[in-house]
Amino acid sequence: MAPSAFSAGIRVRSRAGRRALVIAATGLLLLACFLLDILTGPAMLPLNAVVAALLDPVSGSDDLVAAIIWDIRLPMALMAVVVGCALAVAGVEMQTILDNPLASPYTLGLSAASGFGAAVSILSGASLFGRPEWAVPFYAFVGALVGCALIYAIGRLRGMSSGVMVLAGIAILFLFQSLLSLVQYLASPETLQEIVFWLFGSLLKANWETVAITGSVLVLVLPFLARDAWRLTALRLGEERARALGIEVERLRLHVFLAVSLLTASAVCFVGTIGFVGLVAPHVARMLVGEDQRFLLPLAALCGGVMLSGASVLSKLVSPGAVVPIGIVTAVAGLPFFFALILRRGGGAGWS
Amino acid sequence: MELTVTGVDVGYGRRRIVRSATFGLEPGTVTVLVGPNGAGKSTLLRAIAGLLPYRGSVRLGGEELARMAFGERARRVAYMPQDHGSDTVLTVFEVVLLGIHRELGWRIPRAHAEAVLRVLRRMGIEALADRGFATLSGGQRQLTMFAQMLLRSSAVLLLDEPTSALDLRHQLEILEHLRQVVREEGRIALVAMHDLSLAARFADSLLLLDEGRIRTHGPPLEVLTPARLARVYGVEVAILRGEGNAIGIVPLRRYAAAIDR
Repeated sequence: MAPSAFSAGIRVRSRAGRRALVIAATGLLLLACFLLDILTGPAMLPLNAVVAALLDPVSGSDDLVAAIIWDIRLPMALMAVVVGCALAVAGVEMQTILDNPLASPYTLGLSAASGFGAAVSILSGASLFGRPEWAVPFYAFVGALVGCALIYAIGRLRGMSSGVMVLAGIAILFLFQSLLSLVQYLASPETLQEIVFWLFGSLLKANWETVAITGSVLVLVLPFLARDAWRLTALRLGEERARALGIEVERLRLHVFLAVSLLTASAVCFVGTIGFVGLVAPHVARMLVGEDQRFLLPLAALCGGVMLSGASVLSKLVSPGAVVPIGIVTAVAGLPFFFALILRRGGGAGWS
Repeated sequence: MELTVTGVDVGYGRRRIVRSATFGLEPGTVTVLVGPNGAGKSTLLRAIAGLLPYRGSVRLGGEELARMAFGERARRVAYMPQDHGSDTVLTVFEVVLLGIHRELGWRIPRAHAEAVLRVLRRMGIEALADRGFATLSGGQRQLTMFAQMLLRSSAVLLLDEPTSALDLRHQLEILEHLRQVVREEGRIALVAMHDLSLAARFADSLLLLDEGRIRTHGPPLEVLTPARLARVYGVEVAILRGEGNAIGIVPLRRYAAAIDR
């Protein structure tokens, strides 16, 4: 018996080591995507000019290059990383607390709710404290929170039952898509074009302020989720087994749902509809490291960052001199990769 | 520390399932809860575990369990639910480790990891340590969940059908382990089970539950009489005597009256 127990111990330890390695590798990949994202763009700047502007923004290069790098490319590249991380973290925890592999900010109707808010704002030409550029994100943010509040209220009526909350989310998806269609139907051609462009999902409106807002929400929410890591892991055993371990499932679901709602709203309100990341990045991470949240949570975040950052690079390479909206690129570029992972793993346990 | 259940009523909504259950369980004993389908066995266990609201009193060593925080109560009273499958990719090692999730930080102390491996070895499933929980057979899942329960140091162990998917050998294994830890460490076990012969073989006492009421509580051989089984299950049985507490209960035929019940 001793040798096999010994080897079981070795296997368990080597598994933990391998997981840490996967996380480190994905972190490096994210860094590479981020750097590539800064180096590419419609302006076709030479490599040495970009590096010079990065290292010494004041005197190292001419003002135009410095402005392109510091005012456009860096905020956009950072926004891609931050939003990718935020959507993936929201997705992985929605899937965990709702015990459903199809849960994500998009499939639960939060993107649609946010889009409706944005569309109403564009249609009405609203302004916020005299700053018209903040009106659309603000109404999009409120829209997403209204979607969350509806799911929450319906869930609350049934003791935060996961099945009811998923159904509520799907109903909200249809509701806000209909309302969105109504707004589009009422809009003039110019307004319609603006609404449609917002819905594509784009990083073009990113600036240092939006990066700071979404980034701070992410930084505030992550430790909160990390604190619940073991409880969230236990939830994957099923509600009854988790409760038998002394976990107050309804309360956990409530707290995490509120945290994730805030995260989703702060991400989608600045970039519009980006559907694929929140659903798929968690699955990729789960396939790579399993469901121990100590590994799953950071890896899901990194995977989301890589996917959106990589998509951002691609969106600039598809047609040189232009930037295709990133929401369009994400799914198209991500799908083959995702299918490859599914097929390679084939027949594995669990959702994935 | 005695577990005292007094006048406990449990129900879902307005439907009452368990009515005025009253009994006491001594430390160091294994009590098996038997009774027909729908008698309220699982409901009673879940109420004692604190997973269902109830009226009445459940005390452990004189302390009212309902007054404890939920997590504290779960630390004292461990509950192993009926097996109903799983879709998680968590490994057997991770599932057992979750038994002590309250003590874990971001890093797993070496002593904790070794404790998990020890309990896996004890249940003879260390070779499954890095298998996915959902890929296991029903019986292997039950062994894993039992290992998780052993890792916790709860005073009261509540088990709902812990051996339903196990072969003869593993049935013996789980129940022998259970009896051993209960006797050596002065814990209290309450086990819901359908197999009356197995119940008689391992229980210090039996609780017979029928239509939500406790009909008898006593030594297995006194509880399991043909007349009582006829009344509760509506079945004529033959009871075969073996050595010691070993009996075999063979169902012969249904009583016509039982069909109306």
